[in-house]
Amino acid sequence: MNERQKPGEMQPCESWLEAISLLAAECLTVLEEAELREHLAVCHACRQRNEEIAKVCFNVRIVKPIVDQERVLAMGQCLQHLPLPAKKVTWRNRSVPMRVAMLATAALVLVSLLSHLASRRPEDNPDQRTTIVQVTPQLAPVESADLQLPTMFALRRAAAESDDTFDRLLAWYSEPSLMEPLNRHRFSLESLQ
Amino acid sequence: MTERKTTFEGELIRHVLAGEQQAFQQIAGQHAEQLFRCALTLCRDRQLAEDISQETLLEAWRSIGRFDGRCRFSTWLYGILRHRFLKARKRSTRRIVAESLSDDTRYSSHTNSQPAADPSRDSERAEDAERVRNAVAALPEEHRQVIELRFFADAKLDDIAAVMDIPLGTVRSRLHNGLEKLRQLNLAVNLFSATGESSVRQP
Repeated sequence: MNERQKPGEMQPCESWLEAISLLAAECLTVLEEAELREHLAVCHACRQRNEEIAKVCFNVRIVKPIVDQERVLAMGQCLQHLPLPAKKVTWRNRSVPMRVAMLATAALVLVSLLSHLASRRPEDNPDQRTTIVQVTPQLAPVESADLQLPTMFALRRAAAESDDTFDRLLAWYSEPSLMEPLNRHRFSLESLQ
Repeated sequence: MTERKTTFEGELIRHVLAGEQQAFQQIAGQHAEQLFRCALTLCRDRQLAEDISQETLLEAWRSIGRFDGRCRFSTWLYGILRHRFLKARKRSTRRIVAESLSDDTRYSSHTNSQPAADPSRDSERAEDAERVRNAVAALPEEHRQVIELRFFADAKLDDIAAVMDIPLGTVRSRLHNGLEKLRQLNLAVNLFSATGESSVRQP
């Protein structure tokens, strides 16, 4: 009894269906075919299915299209004058003069590289190289804003005094050179007068 | 060089690997028709199939040194064929017109050898052939290709796997599903009665 054949199953032939198709298509190995034939000998349903699939395969085989033999012969004609296949070139395959020439070239390249390294100028020294320092702008700490602006009291008083006094007050604050002392000393209306 | 009579593929391949052109021509001649049928299944265009098959053989000759014998020679050839087909499809600017195989009303060689009994039977067989071809053409693409490669190109399962670049198990299941679909399309009947039912294998 084959392990794929499970007695008591409702459809015991289900596991053999693919093998039956492959048998009809002549794609089973000798061992697989022997197993299947052993099963077919005892299973009527599988035998019937095998006959059906065999008929399908026969019908398909019979409509195999004819290939024009002239075309096949024409394909063969291209093989009459075949170029030689490219052989893999290894070090051992090369001739002695070629090996010597390749070694000499390699030595020349090596010497030129070494001489280039040896003739480096001092400024090529990595320690003396000019380094580019990226300077990022930094914002200066802003002093308290109330020192840079006239107080409301001073503005009111200047406005009450006269227009000219008010203008002078504004001009005082608008001049940058005056901002620094203003930051250090509070503005007083008396100093303007 | 003396004419080599051997048909043993392994022996031929040894000569091919040694660079003998005649050995390669001999082995290529053995596979040329299968390659052509296979290419025809893939591209459905006779001219393109011929070009691809020719290119495959030339490529095989050029790179024969890379054949390491781990697979059969035909499987290796089919691998090249697939590569050539994909390349041709990519570079081809012309539209690959699906050639209708149903227009070809000729039978295969073994049925042609049977003399036609009378015209009415001949037309009946032509109708049967048309019916089978239509059924095969109606299959899903992946099933149709496997069926055609197996029955029209006589390709083995591992060759089909190489051509379609799919696992062997998938080839087996597609072949089974394709045949099962054809059975459901009522092809499990005695068609081509004149050619004889005796050729159907009995268990």
